[in-house]
Parts: sequence; structure tokens; C-alpha cells
Amino acid sequence: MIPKKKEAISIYFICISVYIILSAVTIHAGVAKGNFYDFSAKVKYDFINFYQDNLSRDSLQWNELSVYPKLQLMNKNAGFTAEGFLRKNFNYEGRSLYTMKETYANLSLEHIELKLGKQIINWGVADEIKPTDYFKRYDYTDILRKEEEGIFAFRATYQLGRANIDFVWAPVFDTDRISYDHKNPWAVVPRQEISFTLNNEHKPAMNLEASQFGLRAGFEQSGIDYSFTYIYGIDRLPTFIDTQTVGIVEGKPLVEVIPFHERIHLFGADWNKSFSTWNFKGEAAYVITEHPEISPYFRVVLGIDRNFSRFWSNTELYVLAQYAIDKFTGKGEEFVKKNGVNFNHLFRQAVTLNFDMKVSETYSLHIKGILDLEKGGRLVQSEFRWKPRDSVVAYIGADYLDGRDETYFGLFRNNDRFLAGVRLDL
Amino acid sequence: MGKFKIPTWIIVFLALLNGYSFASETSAVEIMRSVVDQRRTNSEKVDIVMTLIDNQGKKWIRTGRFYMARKDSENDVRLFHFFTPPELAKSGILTIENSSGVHDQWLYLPAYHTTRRIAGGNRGEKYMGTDFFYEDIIRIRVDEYKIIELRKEVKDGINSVVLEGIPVADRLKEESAYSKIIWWVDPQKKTMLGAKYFDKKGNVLKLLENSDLEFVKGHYIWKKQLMFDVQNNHKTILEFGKKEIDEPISPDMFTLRYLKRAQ
Repeated sequence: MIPKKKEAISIYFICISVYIILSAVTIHAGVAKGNFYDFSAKVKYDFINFYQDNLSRDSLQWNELSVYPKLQLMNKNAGFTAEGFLRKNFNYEGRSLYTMKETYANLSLEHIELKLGKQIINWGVADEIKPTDYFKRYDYTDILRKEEEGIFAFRATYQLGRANIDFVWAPVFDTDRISYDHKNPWAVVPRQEISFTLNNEHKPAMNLEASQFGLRAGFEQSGIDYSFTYIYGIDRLPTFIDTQTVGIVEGKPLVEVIPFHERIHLFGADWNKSFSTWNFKGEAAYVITEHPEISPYFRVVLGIDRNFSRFWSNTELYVLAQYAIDKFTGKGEEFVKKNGVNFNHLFRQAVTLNFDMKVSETYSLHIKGILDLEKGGRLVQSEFRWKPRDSVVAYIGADYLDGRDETYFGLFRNNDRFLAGVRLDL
Repeated sequence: MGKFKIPTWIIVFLALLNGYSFASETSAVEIMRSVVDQRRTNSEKVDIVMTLIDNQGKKWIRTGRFYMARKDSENDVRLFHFFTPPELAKSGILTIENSSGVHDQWLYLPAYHTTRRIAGGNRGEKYMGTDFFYEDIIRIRVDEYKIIELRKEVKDGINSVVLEGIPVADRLKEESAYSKIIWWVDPQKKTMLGAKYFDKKGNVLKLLENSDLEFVKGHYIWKKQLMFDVQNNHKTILEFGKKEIDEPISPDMFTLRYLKRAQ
């Protein structure tokens, strides 16, 4: 698909015009009535030290400064939110990023909520692995500390009692942020001393042909929350990546990387129910991709969690365990095997475990793990936090990855690392 | 063998004693019921300052707003929105009580942009990280306790009645963190002056001190509550500021949609 520039510009122009008008109205309403405005900011500094050397890296250390300024104007019926995201990596410029995380105007009427602008939309009930959570963008330039980002969309939510219908239309398409730069330890291309060139010929065009929409009907009945979802979208992560050697540069092969982002039809459902002190949840999606060799497939995540508010002495403990399946019902399995690790299908079966222990207001420990049950790839992340006061958190932690070459975590097993940082909430 | 006869005076004495005990229990139940009924409003909107004091003496201050309304004759609905600190700002918790005793409860965390159902079944769990347990927040179901009067006592210059409550309802016995509660009650104003809570092993677990009483819309309401966890040397002080009592609150306030719209 080749981008049609005039059409893309028209769509942006129309959306931005409507957005500016709505923002102006809501800002005026908020300021005039003076009900509520808020400015806050989060500042974070991270030091990351990779344990093992690798020829392709510029540095074994990353120093990153991230700032998230946020402005909110709100009255009873209207609001405007703008949150920036500025990240400077002092060692690897490929990680530096300056963007708006969210910028939207919203209007709340008796039964309807309207939202227009760049926004993060969260669908589904699962954690970490979320089969129906489509309408947001991720920054995977560090896959273990992925950052959420909004997409430009119009959203209408109609609430009737304990039921609601959510409609989302995203007129333009953005891929997730992934790195094709072999200098980045989290790049999705082989980390070898070879040159790469990125071919975006198969990236969806910036026109209405690439617009996406979704419908979600949610219900709360007899102590159970459940919903049904349909999404007409495009894979935000590449459906698959093709590579071709196209020449030789300074005696080394020049490889062309061609990501393919295909159309998808997603049919999903999720539910959440508590029994006594335990909470059970599930999320499933059946996906038909407009690529015959990798379609269809279904994903299921089943989870159980519990909060022990008096686990021991004054210690609180939250535990979440999930079991995830990602299964092809067609020829996808053969296709994936032939093409190596597919970043859209990391495993066939896996378990995840989250363990958050709050020893006191000051100290807490967080451990997260994923185990690929079929091929044995594994990830363990740990973080110990010290909060001397409410607005300051200092933390140290470590990430451990292991597995065979053909597994997702095995591919990045040289990226074990130590990290330390501090976060200020202003 | 001659018949063993219980002297008549012993029978009369035992009957009187039993009658006294029954009368005492009935009276104690009624006193407790009057306290609960006096405090129960139709609706509340209250600004709260919450101070947590850890075992090192360090203070952690949270502010927020609490909404409550009657769902029906037995059950209430509750919503709490945090304003500060920044880490908790705009997060909230919505609770819808059910007669089955299994309450629906959702948490909203702005960082995750979503509401999450959380298990609301255990009354003996901490409420929002404070030293108050969920069973301390909800209305006391008097019928679920065996309540007797222990003594009369002058507490802080007030002639109070000291009541003892022991959980007897099966579900309460199973879920409660307490084996026994002692309440200090002012029978004149029908208010609870304080309480002492005992854990399942019979050890003192927590102490409650209420202070600064005010009369609002026909209800005596405390402006300050101190809950002291004696086993962990941890305290929570709740200070209730601006309040609107028995003012109409829209039922829409107690929905997931409003939970996400802290104001």
C-alpha cells in the first residue's frame, strides 16, 4: 500500500479542526466555571546496566531521563487532558523520544461520554498479555519496560444502568514503536555486524482505508462483569517480518527488513468474577488475519488474583497468576516455524506470575515472571522500592531472561541487566 | 432412695438470674441498635483527611472524598476518591453492598486507565491500606452478634455503657478478623465513644477512639476517629471536614463511569 498524502492530510486536518474546537469549548467551560484544573508532573531517572557484552552495542549502560507533564481542565460535563512524554537517553539516541502520550477533549452527558483526540483506551481484564486490548500503542524499544501511548481516536460510550456500549473509531493508523536498529539490544533484527535498511512499503497508508473501529458491549450482572468485543483493525506489531539480502556494504551484507502489518478481524470476550476473597478473570480473542498463511488464531488468558491485606504483621501481598494460550487453527504454526521468532506470537502456552509485597508504606518488593511452557523460555523481573516520602520513590531491580535461540526470551538472553532509578511525583 | 429436691429459693434465684441476663442482653442489643440507627444517614458526601502513622512515627497523609447512599433498607453503596498524594490521585474504590454478604467492589487506578473488579467478600481485610477493616466501615448488623452489657463506666466525662459483642452469624464468624469487640456507648446521644477489638486468639488487636462530636441534620457525627493497631504499632487518623448529610446524591455517582471521573 502506498500512502495517499493528500487524503492523509485531509483526514488529519478534519480531525484536528474538530478536536481544536471541542478542546476550546471544554477549556473555556472549565476555566469559566473554575471547577477543577490540575497540573502534575512525573520525573524519572533510570540507570540500566546490561551484564554481558555484545559487539553490536554502543554501550553497556543506559542513562535515561523521562518527564511526564500533565494538564487537566475539568468541570461537571467537559474536560481537556494533555500529557506529554519526553525521554532522553544519554547513551543511545535511538531511545530518546518526545511526544504526547495523550491529548484529548471529553464531554459527559447523562448517558453518553464522548472523547476525541490522542487517548489510551483500555479494553479487557487480563494483565500483561491482553488479547482484546487493541486501541493503544506501545513503545517496544525496551520490551521489558514498554511504554503505553495513546492513539488518535473518537470514542463514544453509552451507559444504561449496569450495561454499556463502547464505540471507537481510529481514522489513522500507527504501528507500535519497535526498533530495527541493531545497536538497540531490544531490536527485532539480528544483532550482528551487518547493515540493515528498512522497507516501509507494506506499512498501511495514512488514509481512511487504514482506519480502524471497534465495538464493545459490557455488562455487570449477578456479581459478574463480562463483555463482547469486535475490532476491525490492523496488526500494530508486524504480522510478520520479511528479510532479504539486497547487496554488500563495506564487505558486509546489506539486509532489507520488510515489516508487514495486515488487516485483522478480532472477535473477543472477557469476564471477571469474585468468589469470596479470590478474583477470577478470563479474556479470549479469535483473530482472522488477511494473510492466509498465519490465520486464523485464538488467544486465551485465564487469571486468578488475591490481595492479602494482612498477610503477615502489617505486610500486604498481592498475587496474580495467569495461564495464556496462543494457538493457530490454520497453517500459522508452520509459517511461524519457517520464519523464526514472530513478535506477534511469542509463545503457544505460558504462565505468568505477579507478586507485589508491601512491607510498609516505605518498602515494597515486586516480582514478575513469565515461563514459556512449550519451549522453556523464561523471564524474571524484580524490583525493590524505597519510598522515603509520598512523592519520592527510589528503586533497584534486575531482569533475567533465558531460553533457547528459537524462543522470544532466548533471543534476548544476553540482555540480563541491573537497574536503579528514582521517581518524583510533583 | 429419697427424691433429690432443689430448694424453691434456688429455682427462684436462678430464674431471676436468667431473667436478668436475658433482660440485660435485650437491653444491650437495643442500645447498640439505637447507636447504629442514629448514625445511619440516607446519604453522605464528606471530605476526608487520612493520616497513617507507621511504627517509626512517620506520617503519611492522604486526602479524598467519600460518598455514601442507601441502596435499600439493608444495604448501602459507597465511593471513595483520592485527591492526594499524587501517586494515588484520582484513584478510587466503589463498593455496592448486597444482602448475600458478597459485595461488589471495583478499584480504579488511573495509571492503568481501567477499573478492576476486586474481591469484596472478606470483611476482615484492610480498607484502602488503613487500619480500618472493611467490617469497621460498613454498618454493624446487630443481629449477627451476641451483645451483652458488661458494665457502666464514665469515659472522658461521659456516662457510658460498656457492651461486648461476639460474632455469632456463621458468615461473620468465618470472615471477621475479630473474636470479640467491646464498645463504649453514650446511651444519651446514641453514639459510640470508642471500641476495643480482639483477634481470633483473644488478644487485643486494635483500639478505636472517637472525638469531636457534632450534630448535623439530626445525626451525631464524630469529626475525628483514631484507629490504633496495637499489634503492629500502626495508627490511622480520619478527620472529616466539609460534609453534606442527607442531601440527594444521584445514583449515577455509584457507577463505574463515575468511579473513573474523580472530582
